[in-house]
Amino acid sequence: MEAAIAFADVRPVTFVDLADRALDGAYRLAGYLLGDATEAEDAVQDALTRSWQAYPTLRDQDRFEPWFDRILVNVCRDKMRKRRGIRIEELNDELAVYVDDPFRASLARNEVDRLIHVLNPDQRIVVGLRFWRDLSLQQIADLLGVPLGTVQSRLHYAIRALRDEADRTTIATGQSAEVRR
Amino acid sequence: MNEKMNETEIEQRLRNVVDGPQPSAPASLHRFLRDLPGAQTSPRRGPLGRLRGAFDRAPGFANPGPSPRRTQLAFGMVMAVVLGVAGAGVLLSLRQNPAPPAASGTHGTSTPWVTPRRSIGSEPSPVVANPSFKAGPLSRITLVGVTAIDAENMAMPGQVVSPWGAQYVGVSTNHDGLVRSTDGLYWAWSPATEVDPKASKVTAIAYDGVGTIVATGSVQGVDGTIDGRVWVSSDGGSTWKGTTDESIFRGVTVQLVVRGSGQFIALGWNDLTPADSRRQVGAWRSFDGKTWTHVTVPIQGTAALIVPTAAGFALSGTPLASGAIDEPPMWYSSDGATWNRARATDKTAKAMGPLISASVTSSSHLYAVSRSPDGTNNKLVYSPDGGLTWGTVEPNDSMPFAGRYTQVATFSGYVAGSGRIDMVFVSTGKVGEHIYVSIDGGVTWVEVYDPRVGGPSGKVLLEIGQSYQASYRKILAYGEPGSRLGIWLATLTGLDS
Repeated sequence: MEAAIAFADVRPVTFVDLADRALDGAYRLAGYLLGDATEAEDAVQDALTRSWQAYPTLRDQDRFEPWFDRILVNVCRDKMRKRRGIRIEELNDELAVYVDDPFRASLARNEVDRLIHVLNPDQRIVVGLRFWRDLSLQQIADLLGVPLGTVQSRLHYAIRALRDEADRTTIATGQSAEVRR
Repeated sequence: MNEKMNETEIEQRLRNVVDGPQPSAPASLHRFLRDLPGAQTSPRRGPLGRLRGAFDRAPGFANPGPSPRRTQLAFGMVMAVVLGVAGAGVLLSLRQNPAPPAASGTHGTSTPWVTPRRSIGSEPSPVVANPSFKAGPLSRITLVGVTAIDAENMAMPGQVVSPWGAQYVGVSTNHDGLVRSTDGLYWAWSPATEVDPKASKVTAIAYDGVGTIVATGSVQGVDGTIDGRVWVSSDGGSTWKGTTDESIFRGVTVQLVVRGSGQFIALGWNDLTPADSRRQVGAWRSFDGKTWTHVTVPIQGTAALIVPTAAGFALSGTPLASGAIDEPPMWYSSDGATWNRARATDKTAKAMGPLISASVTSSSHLYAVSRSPDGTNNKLVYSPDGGLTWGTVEPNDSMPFAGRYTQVATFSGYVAGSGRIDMVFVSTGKVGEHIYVSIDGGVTWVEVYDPRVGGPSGKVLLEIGQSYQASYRKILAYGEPGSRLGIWLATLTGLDS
């Protein structure tokens, strides 16, 4: 047993080892933040590339996952911001690729997808880390490198914006139903 | 959600999103991770550590590794991957009816072991590609995803380099100057004067893979004269400097630059007067991008094409002197200074004109379009050996506009369970005429299809090639369906299924 422990202690932990363990969680976080499996894969590839290049600067391997998440979140934020100049065109139903998108399906199933577009990227990131990554507010603050109060504020305004959007769409739906009657 | 929700209900709905089974990272992501070269065993600290880290990442440098065990392990893993891919290819070739060679008259069937083209960050592991490999039935590749609607005014990329992972710098094809992107979709433009306040044109760009980017072009003097220029950047294209001796480019615009075999090769010509068509094309080479020397190329005129290959360079243009009957207007060189005439291996190839478009696959197979005098009988030609010998890819019924294609591009992708394959795209660049793709070396062709606009096609097809984002899975196409420019992403669902 001692020999086995000693071997485990000296076995070099590679970037691939660490990244591989974090890959599923990272893919899900990116998927829900971006709401699209294809974009999520792109984002994780970007984050892998950036983190691989920056890996020599990581001092504590035990901190790999939050370090990698921070890089991933930055990539996702960039993508969300750039969407403003790009229209995502809806596809024909015959293209099954989006129907099979697990993130779109899950967001749609819970009716979150029609609300979340009102959030700005920073708010969406806090929502994602809190509810989809299940991090505490302090963990989110540490990961993003912002004060705890900033995280609390972003989350508060995000939830309020979602509630307002839900109210707005409910009223709109109700009105259109009345018109139909 | 027909009733008003309070904030608690909102939070509950958000939490419910991740209830139930959650998706795992797709195999392509694991593959991408494994393909990142030089998996490091531990973080490198301090200036020396960072230097070693840079050497780890730099292609072309020997990486002794921190311990013999690591070296052995890495070697074993690489060999396992290589043997696995090779074995899968062999098994598939045996299982399926082998397709005939794509180009008639090619010599032999052996596939060279070469270093493939750029992957994100560095060079990927060697792979075996089989141009006659047939992946199975493929009706068409469907384009899905994103169209950039502001692309009408957006500068579009032509030649692009990727100095830092997902940071891309390129030369714009529709707005003079440079373009930059971090996602391959949105391209920010900056004028040529950002490279050099005196610059009148930026024509081409190349990257040495370890930190130096070279851009070419020209400056205009106060008296109207044009002088060529080469600019060098060591910070990812943010700032640029001139070369040691700029007078070497006097009087001629530097039009092309490529990187291969450890050096940059640049070509230059003018297209201002009728006499320019009879002038020898200027050529220069440099190992560091800063100091350039003259070399000679055996071509003249106002057009040329040069492609880096695994063995050096392939060149095409109007010959200074007529060649023998089996000598097409192509040359090859291992050093950019000494050029040897290529040979044609079939009758059609013997009659072909200079190349107007060329692309090299990850396994060093060259595909090119050879120009005919009237543009209606262009040939798709193929070299299996880095440009030494050329044959014709014979057209057939699956290629409706054979003879009129003007562009070729290649893309190496994965087929589930089959390893890497080479895809060859051709297009005419004309409205209403689609891009076609072959995954069997040109034997059969299928249409690249966008159900929304029936494209991509266009009178200005700017580029077809691999995605800068997900290099194993997607294709980017730039084109003009009708009146607007667009960018397409394609998922290879037809291949993966």
